[in-house]
Amino acid sequence: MVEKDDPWEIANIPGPRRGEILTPVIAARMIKEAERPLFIVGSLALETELNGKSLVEYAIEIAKESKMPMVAVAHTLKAFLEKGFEPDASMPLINIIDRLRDADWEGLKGAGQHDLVVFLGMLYYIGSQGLSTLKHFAPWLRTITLCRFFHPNADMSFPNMSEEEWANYLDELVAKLRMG
Amino acid sequence: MDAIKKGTIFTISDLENVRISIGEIVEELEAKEWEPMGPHPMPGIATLRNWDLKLLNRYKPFYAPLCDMCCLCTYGKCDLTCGKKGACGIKIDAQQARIVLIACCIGTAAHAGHARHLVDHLIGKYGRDCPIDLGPSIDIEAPIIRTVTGIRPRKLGDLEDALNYVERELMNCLSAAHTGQEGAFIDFESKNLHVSMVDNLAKEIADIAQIVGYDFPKGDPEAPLVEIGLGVVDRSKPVILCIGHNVMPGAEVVNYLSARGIEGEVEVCGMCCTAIDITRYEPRAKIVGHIAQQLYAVRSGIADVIVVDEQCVRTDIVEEAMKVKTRVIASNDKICYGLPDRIDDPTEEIIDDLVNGAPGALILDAEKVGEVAVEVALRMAPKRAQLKALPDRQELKRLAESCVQCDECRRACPNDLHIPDAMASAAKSNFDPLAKLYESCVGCARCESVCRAELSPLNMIKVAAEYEIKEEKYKLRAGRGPVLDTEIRNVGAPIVFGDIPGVVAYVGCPNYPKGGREVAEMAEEFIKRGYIVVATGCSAMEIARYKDEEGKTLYEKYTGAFDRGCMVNIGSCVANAHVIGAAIKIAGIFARRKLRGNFEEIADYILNRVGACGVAWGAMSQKAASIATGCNRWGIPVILGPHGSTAYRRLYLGRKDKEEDWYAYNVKEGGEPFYFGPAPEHLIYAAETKEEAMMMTAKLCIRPSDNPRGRLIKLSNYIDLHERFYGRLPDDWHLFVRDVTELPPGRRKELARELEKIGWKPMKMPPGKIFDPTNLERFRNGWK
Repeated sequence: MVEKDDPWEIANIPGPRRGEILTPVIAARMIKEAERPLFIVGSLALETELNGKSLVEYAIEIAKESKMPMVAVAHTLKAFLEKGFEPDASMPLINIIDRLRDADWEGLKGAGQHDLVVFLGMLYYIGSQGLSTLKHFAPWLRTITLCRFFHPNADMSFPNMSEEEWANYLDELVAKLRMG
Repeated sequence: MDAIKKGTIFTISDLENVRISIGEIVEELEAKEWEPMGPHPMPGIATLRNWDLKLLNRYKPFYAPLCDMCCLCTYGKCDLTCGKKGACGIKIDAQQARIVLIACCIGTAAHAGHARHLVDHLIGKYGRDCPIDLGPSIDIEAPIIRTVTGIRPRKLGDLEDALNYVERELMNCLSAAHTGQEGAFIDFESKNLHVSMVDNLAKEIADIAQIVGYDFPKGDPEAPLVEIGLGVVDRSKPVILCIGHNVMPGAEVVNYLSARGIEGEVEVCGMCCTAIDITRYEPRAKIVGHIAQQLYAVRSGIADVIVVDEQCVRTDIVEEAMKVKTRVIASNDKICYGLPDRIDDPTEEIIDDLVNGAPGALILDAEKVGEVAVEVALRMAPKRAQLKALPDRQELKRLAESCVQCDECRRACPNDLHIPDAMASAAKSNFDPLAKLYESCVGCARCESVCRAELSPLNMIKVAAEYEIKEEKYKLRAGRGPVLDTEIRNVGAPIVFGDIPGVVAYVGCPNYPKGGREVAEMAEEFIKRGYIVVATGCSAMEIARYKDEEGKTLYEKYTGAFDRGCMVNIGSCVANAHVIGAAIKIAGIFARRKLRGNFEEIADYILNRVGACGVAWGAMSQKAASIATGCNRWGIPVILGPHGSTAYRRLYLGRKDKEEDWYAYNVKEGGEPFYFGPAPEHLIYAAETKEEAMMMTAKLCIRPSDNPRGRLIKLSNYIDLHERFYGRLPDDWHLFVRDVTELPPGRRKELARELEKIGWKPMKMPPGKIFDPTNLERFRNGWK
């Protein structure tokens, strides 16, 4: 069976530097301690439901409790608007990664380049490549992923797990963020 | 000494110790040169570097390393993470650019090798003086050859001159990837652009050669409809399946059948571009499908003989064919498979050996392949009956019950298909989830390599989807080849000014994220919006695989003429050259720009004025990398699917938030620099979903030279698509509004209010509201 920290895609073994396993407690602490975190939500959010709750709803909860600015990538914007939530930006994943690797970019709110990026709901292989870009070309950033598949290119990643475990992880993360 | 005129007889006498060398025979010059030579005929690696740097300054390389290391020399592996250098001093960005160079060189070499094979064969058959005549509606027979090399090819021998240049440049570019060569990523990228431009040239050479040599359609908008799909193959007849990209052996199979007078008695079908080109030669031949369907087709056992030629052929064809007692003939030196070389053996001996059990033969003679393939198929067919290497439907449940739900198949799947869930359903006799996977399966069989229960999910998917597969009976138009000069005269102005909102080319391989239906959906979306829609290769085949409620494919519904609202199959991979050729022809015919040896000016023209966009939704191969990068050097942007972000490792991205990057000179206004907006925003880009791709396609067709009406049309399409898929206006739409007259009339007031809220100011429009943009300093004060 797949190990917790095996790359989800079997052959996705990038090299000597790889991420560590992330827990909800650590994720919540990293988000709270970051000065300019950024939350990026991808297209799988549109197709994923956990215990009857869509990943879009989870993303909204995480954004609200953490107060992180959110970028809706691909065409996820519409789903958020339909739930009455306005992301801080809508742009292609490639565009936001391009800006995050630019040391001179002033960040989404013009307050300076970001220091932590949180990913959720990325198509695995495009997400992995985006993380690779940031790993190599954005040394000022830490990256974490909240999907249920381990990403070796992230600094820290939720482990490989079942959907049930994942729902528990996300619930716990929201609860920790809510505690402040 | 005066030149000696052709036909002159002269004698040499009273000479001793003299050696006479005769060099290249120079044809008598025409009374007038057909066009003055431009500044850059046959450019070397560094000749167009300034143009490349101009492009790369606006569209900066973006790298997503697939591997953190370099493993190319024996100092390696070298860890390049966190800014570390390799043993040769290389850093990760240069290493990515270098890998891209190797990939683009491979792609270029594939097309160049294919072109060389065709040109040599056809010169051998018809002579160097065989004329190149593409019919009365095409005067610019070879736009890329003319622009890049300065040659106007009148006969087959002229193609060889262009090919010699291709091979020289390819060698130089590949050599730059050696250890201790180029060190700067930006110059690796310049070489990528150069070798990929050379790739376009190789493709044009190959397709012109085969159009002439095999009498393919010469831009015929009414090219016949041909059959495609696994279900169209008549299994009651012997079946020959040609796989690859080189039409030569397949054409000889057709010729042999004709010579024997038994054309209707054997099914000649093909996969990949060989199939497209065989049907350009013989419309009664059939197309089974593209590379993603190869394994399905082979394992179905329909073929009595498989003939492989080159490119994109599964490397385990012999092993797979043996399971179903299909014989394999390898016909090209690129793919020998370890088979015995039978070229010097008597034909009857080869036939007997294959019929009596030899798995295959290497025969590097297309005519001999034709005879052997037909004779073996005729004799094998009665013996093979309906052999196949697949389980019965009854076995599916039992097999599915042995799945251990380890998820390894899903982890190995390029598309992360939910195979374990489908297995769980099949174990309960519900085979629908397995059948549904067929559409998204790329046919790679990595799942069965990793299966701990030694199952073949691919086979099980095929059996579950058997009904759908049997119903695979579609039609597509045979590859028509070049765009006619007469068509360009009709559409040139509307394209440049924007009345036709753009030309969208669906090209490339079938490594789709969610199956090929998305390509057909995207194509029809833009057809209905009045774009010119063309397709080549695997994409052209994929588009044909979906029917509407009336049972028609897009090729049956829409015109094959290069005009708004069309669905055109240009042809095979090498026919991609004609898509670029069309853009060049617009510059040459509509704008009367000189093409000869004039790459930079023509590329500048295309970048600023020709609203074309390539969509390689399933791009997979090295050829696709060189095709796309070649388009980029000409100023044509390309959108890749999400898989393109992985193996290709590199994009060229613009930054619309950096205003300083989006200035050009307006020649009509005395060369004044003017801000024209981020159009096109990117040169090569990867979209995550088809909705994102459609939105971006409309945006990437916007150009600085759009007139107000054209800009209105393009903006309307962009806004409409964004609102439909994203739920609101795009947040950058104001960057493309130069004047309020460009707002869609039905929403002018509403949109004008939105513009006012953000403090938008109209752009200073030139007289007549027509921009005359150039990025080239030497033209800022005039076009001469």
